[in-house]
Amino acid sequence: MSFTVRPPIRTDKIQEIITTVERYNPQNIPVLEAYLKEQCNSFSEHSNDPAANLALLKLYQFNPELLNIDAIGSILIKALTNLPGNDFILCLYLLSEQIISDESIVKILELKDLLETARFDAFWDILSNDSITKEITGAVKGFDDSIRSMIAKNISVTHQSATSEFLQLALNLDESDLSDFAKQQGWTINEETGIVTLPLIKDNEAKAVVISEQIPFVQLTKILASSSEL
Amino acid sequence: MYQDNFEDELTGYINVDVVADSYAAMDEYVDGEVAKELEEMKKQQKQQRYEKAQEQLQEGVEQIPAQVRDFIHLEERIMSFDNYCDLFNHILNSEKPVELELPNKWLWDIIDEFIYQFQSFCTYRSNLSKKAADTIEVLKNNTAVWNTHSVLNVLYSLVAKSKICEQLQASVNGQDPTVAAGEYGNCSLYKMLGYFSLVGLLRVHCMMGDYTLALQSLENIELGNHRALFTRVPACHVTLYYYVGFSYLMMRRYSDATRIFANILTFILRTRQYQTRSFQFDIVNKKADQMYALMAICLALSPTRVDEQIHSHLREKYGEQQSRMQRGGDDSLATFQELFLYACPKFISPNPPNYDAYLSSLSSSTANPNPTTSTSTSTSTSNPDTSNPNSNANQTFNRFELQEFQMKIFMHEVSLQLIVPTLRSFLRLYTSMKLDKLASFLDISPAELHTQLLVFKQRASQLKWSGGPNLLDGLPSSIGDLGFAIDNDVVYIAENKVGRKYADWFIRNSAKIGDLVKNLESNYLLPSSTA
Repeated sequence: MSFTVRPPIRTDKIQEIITTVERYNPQNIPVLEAYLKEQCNSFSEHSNDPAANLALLKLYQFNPELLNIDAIGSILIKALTNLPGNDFILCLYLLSEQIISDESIVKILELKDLLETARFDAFWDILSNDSITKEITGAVKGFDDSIRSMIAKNISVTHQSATSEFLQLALNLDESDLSDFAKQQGWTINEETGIVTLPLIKDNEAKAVVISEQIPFVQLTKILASSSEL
Repeated sequence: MYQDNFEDELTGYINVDVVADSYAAMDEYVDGEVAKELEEMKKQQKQQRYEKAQEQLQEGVEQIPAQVRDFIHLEERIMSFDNYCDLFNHILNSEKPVELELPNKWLWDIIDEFIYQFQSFCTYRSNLSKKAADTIEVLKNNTAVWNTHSVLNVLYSLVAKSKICEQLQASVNGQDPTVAAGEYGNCSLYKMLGYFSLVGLLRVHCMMGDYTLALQSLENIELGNHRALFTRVPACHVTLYYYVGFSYLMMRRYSDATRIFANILTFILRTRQYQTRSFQFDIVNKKADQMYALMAICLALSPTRVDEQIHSHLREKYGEQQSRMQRGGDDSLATFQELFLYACPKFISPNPPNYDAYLSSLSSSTANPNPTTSTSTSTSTSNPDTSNPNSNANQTFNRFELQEFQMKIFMHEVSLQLIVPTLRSFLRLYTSMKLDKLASFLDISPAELHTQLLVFKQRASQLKWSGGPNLLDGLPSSIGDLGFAIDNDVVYIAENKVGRKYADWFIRNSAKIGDLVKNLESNYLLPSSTA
């Protein structure tokens, strides 16, 4: 997700707020908060507008008395679904020591660390057993599914094949769900060996590339000019 | 002495030499090698003496109590702010464009100093400890002074008045920028102030931790263009690249950061001789040194090949730190931290601290027979009232807080990335390997290795800028010269290779044949023709 492309969900009003000096007007906090709710309630790939959410965090940074910790939580949860992109860390830089020691935020940071250190089974474990975590992530629609597809992406660039036990744990799916999911992703499961084969893409081929130098002609004009003087 | 060349801006190509020439012209460059060398020696001696004096001064300063050490009095800061307000009001609120032509360097200095004073005031006001109660009262009653909103307001107004964004947009689209500029934008005063304000915004946003907005301010400024306006003032050129590179580094776009730093550092190396006589030389040098440190960080996190000259300079300056960072472990984290603190910009908080809370804590501690300001700091940091982050009451009075917060976030990213160099050094030894065997080499469990490999792939994906007017753009691409894939229990590894470099060969041999031809002509052909 890019910051510069306007997502279809963004209205003209929001566009105006985040591209003009209106972004410093604290009266826009409720507007952006409502927009955040809308993003959380509609689940699709294009329902995330990190630029607008950063603008909201910026307003909180300037007006700490208007800060809404639940909204910050939602923004971070939204950003989690976009890992390994850099939205999450960009949000963090706008927070403060006090905010990140808040109980709910600490939980989210924990989830982020588990995802980023690829401890997926521990991640799902906390998600299904910890009540506070359940509550915060529940506010974002389709959270589980977007995390699952994110993990699947990570696996598919790393693996050519993997055991189905590993995939079940990493994706938090049981056997029948996994076979549905595998069909969706174009993975093939070998029933006998339990090995799942993933389609080859550029990133999981392990092919050596020869990097060759590209010199544009204009860079050589000087040497050519000097040779003509001879 | 001062020379401008406005008509050629934003058009066509140019190389380093043209910019360098303009520096030379600015600084009354004396030709002649001997004279130059003598100059150089004198300069170095002067520099050494100066450094020594500075050191002594520094030592002396540290013994002076802090109250006295605040060289600049609060009243002076306030007066300076009022002066700036008068100046900018005069420029921004006149009915017709103010008829004033000032050298670019001065205009840059106006904006640069304005932001510097803002930053130093923010640091000053957030460092409440050791300040007398009446000073704090004055601060409390003058919240409008160096207020973040007014500073931003000045910069945004200058940008808007000069229509600099429209001008840049027009020239990117190949239209005539003077049409878009309007009445004010066509005056060089407004145009350049507007342009430098964009760079100023980059810096202010960066200091507040908003790296997205920082890079967004530079929309339509083409960094690769050596004839762009920012090249007119060396300090501006360097500042711009420093903050862009730093933003990329914080955004986890290490390859972009490396590219930016390598670009400007090469430029500084090549124009060094012209810059020694510039009064901004010290600033440029200091920034360059910081950028080498940042680049060492980038390369430790995401190893790539860089220009040989830069590489050797880097090894000379930070070779030891580099190898420590790549080794991993606590030792390397400490090195990252050290370099980061040395090279990062000063961070500021957009809001003044809670003066009332501090005053009350001050009065309560004076009741205490042992009034120590450090207690108020330590209690407020160690016991944050986490259930109620909305209140400002528990705000710390520690001026390093912001520095530490940004560093903490960054260092956490680093700690996640740290497995990459070690793993990489092992992987590149093989082309295929059983997972459990590799794990035993690394002295970890196969499951652990598996997660590390997944992390490796995650971290290898970075956004990479690939042209376009916006610096935030980028395509997710996998960085690094190592590709691998896990096939159930075997990992296949392929390392990218660098092909032959033809350009270097071509240039060297062209030079050689040039010499040969010259030699032939002078030794054999010419005498015979004259004879």
